[in-house]
Amino acid sequence: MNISNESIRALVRDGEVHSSVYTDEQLFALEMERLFHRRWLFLGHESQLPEPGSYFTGRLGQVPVVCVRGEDGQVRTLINRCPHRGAMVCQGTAGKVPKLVCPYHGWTFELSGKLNWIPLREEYTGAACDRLHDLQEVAAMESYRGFLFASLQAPASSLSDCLGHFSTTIDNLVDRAPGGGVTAAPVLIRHKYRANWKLTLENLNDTLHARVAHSAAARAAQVVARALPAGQADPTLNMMTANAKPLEAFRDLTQVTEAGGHSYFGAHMPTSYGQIQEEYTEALVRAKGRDEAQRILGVERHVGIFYPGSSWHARYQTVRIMQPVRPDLTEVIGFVFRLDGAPDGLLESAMHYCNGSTSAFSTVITDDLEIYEGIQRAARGAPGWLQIARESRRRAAGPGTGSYPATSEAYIRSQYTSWLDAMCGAAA
Amino acid sequence: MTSDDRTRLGQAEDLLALEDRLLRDRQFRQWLAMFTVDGAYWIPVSPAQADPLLAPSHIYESRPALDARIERLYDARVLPQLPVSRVSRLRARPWLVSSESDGMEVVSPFQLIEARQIPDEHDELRIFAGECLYRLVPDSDAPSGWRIRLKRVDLINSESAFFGVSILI
Repeated sequence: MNISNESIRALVRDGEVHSSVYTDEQLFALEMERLFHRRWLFLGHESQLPEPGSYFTGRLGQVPVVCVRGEDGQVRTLINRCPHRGAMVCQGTAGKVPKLVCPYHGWTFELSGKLNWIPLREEYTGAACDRLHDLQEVAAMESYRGFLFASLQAPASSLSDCLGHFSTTIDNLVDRAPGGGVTAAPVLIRHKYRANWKLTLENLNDTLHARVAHSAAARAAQVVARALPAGQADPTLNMMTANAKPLEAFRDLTQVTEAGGHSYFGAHMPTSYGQIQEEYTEALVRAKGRDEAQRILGVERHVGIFYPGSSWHARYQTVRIMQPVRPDLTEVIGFVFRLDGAPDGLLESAMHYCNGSTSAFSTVITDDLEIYEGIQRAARGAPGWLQIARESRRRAAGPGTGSYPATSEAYIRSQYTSWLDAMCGAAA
Repeated sequence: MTSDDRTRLGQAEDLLALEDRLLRDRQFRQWLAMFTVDGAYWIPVSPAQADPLLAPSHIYESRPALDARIERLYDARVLPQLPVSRVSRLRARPWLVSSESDGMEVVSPFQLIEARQIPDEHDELRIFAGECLYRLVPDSDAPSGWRIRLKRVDLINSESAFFGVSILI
C-alpha cells in the first residue's frame, strides 16, 4: 500500500472532507487494516450463545469470525477459516455443534478452537507437523454487560477505555430491564446499500436531514394521525411525525461527541412506553427502587454511534452493525433486545422501531439509502470537497469531549479525527 | 372439497384478482380498503416466525401505520420512487388452507418482477418470489364478500439483506 500519511491527512481539512474517502479502493483496504481490524467492534450478545457449542458467525472488517461458547462456558471469537485449506469451518449465521468440524476434509477442533483430530495425521511429517494449527483466536474479546465486542488485532486501548462515556448508553439499555439483563430476539434483520459504510454513520446523528429527506413519510403520518379519533395515538405514526419537528426543536437537543468518534444526541422520538408504561414502570421500581428507576428512565437519548462499527438505541432496544463489504457496498444488521423481567407487550414499540430503522422496506430508511447511493454515484463521477462545518459553538461543558446543539456536524468532524488517528497510525 | 368451499375459493380468487389489478394501477387506497379495520400486512424475516411482535420483520404494520405507508406513496417527493417502479405480477391459483364459519385462509404462490430506473445508472430488474397467505373474514359490504385480516408474505429469500424496497409485495 503506497498511500502516504500525508496524502491521507490531506483528505480532511477545516470543515471539509474529500469525497474520495467514499470511493477509493486503496483507502478502503487501509480502513479495513488500520481501523476495522484494530478497533473494538460489536459482534453479538451472550444470549445468542445459550449453551456450550452454540455459535454465531460474523465479520471483523473483512475477516470472517465465529463466536462460540466452549465446554468451559467461555465465549471465544475464532477466525472462521480452517488452517488446512482455508475453508470456512462454521456455516450459516448460527447453530449448535458438539465440535467444530471443517466441512472440507474433516479437520476437527474443540469448541475452544484447539486442534482435536485430523485425518492421516501420521502423513504430516517434517516441518509441516509444526504447522498443524488450532483455529486462531482474535487478539481481544470482552463482554460488556452481555454484549460481545472483539478486536482482530491488539487494540490500542481496553474495551472500557474505548467505550468511555459511551458505556452509559449501553448501561441504560440493560438498566431498563427489571430482570437485570436483556435477550436478543431470535431473528436478525438486514439491509444493504450501494454506497460507503461511513455514509450511515454520518447520517445517524444528523438532525437536519430528517425534515427534508423523510418529509413524505412524516407528512403521510401527520395526515393519518389527524384522521384518528381524538385521544388515539399510534407509536409508529409518532416515530414518523417526530421527523417533522421544526429545526429549532432539534437545535434545543444536545449532541455529545466522544473521543474515538462516538456520539449521541438527546431523545428525538417519543420516550413513553404508551399503554404499558405504568405496568412496566412498576416492575422497574420493584426491581431498582423509585429513585434509580426514575434516573434510568430519565436518560433520554436517540441513536448512539459506537465508532466505527455499530449504533445503539437504549429506549428502543435496538442495536445495528454497519458492515463494510466494498467501498460502494455496505450491509446493516439489526438486533432487537427483550428486556428481561419486563411485561410482555413492552417489546412492541421497540420492534416497530427496529423494523423501521433496519428494514429495507422501511418508509424512512429507503429515503436514506437512496440519498447514500446518490452521494456515492456523484463522488465517483465528480469527486470534490464536501462540507462538515456546521455549528462549531460548544455548549457548556458536559460529558464526553464536546457538547453541541444537535444541529451540529461536530460528530462527523469527530469521526474523521478518529479516522485520521487510525489511518495515520496514531493510538485510537 | 365441499361445494361451499369451492364457492369460497372462487370468491378468494376474485379478491386476489382485484388486489392484483389495484396494485398494478397504483390504486393503493383502494387496496388498503380491502383490509379490515384491524387488518395487518406482514413480511417476516424468517418463515419460522409465528408472532410478529417477538422478532423483527421487513414489514409488520397494522392500521393506522399501514395507512401511513400507503399515504406516503401518493406524495410526489418519495425519493426512492422517482420515477415509480413498474411491477409485473404473476400469481398461481390459491388453495384453501382452512375454512371455518368465521373465516378462511388461502395461500397463493407469486412471482413479481420490479423494474426501477436508477438515475445515471443501469435499469434495475429485481425478482421477488414466494407465497402469500391471506386470512379472510366475511364482509357482505366487500366486493368479493371478504376482507383481508392478515396478508402474510413469505419471500423465498426472506433472510437476505435487501436493497431498499418501496413497492408493495
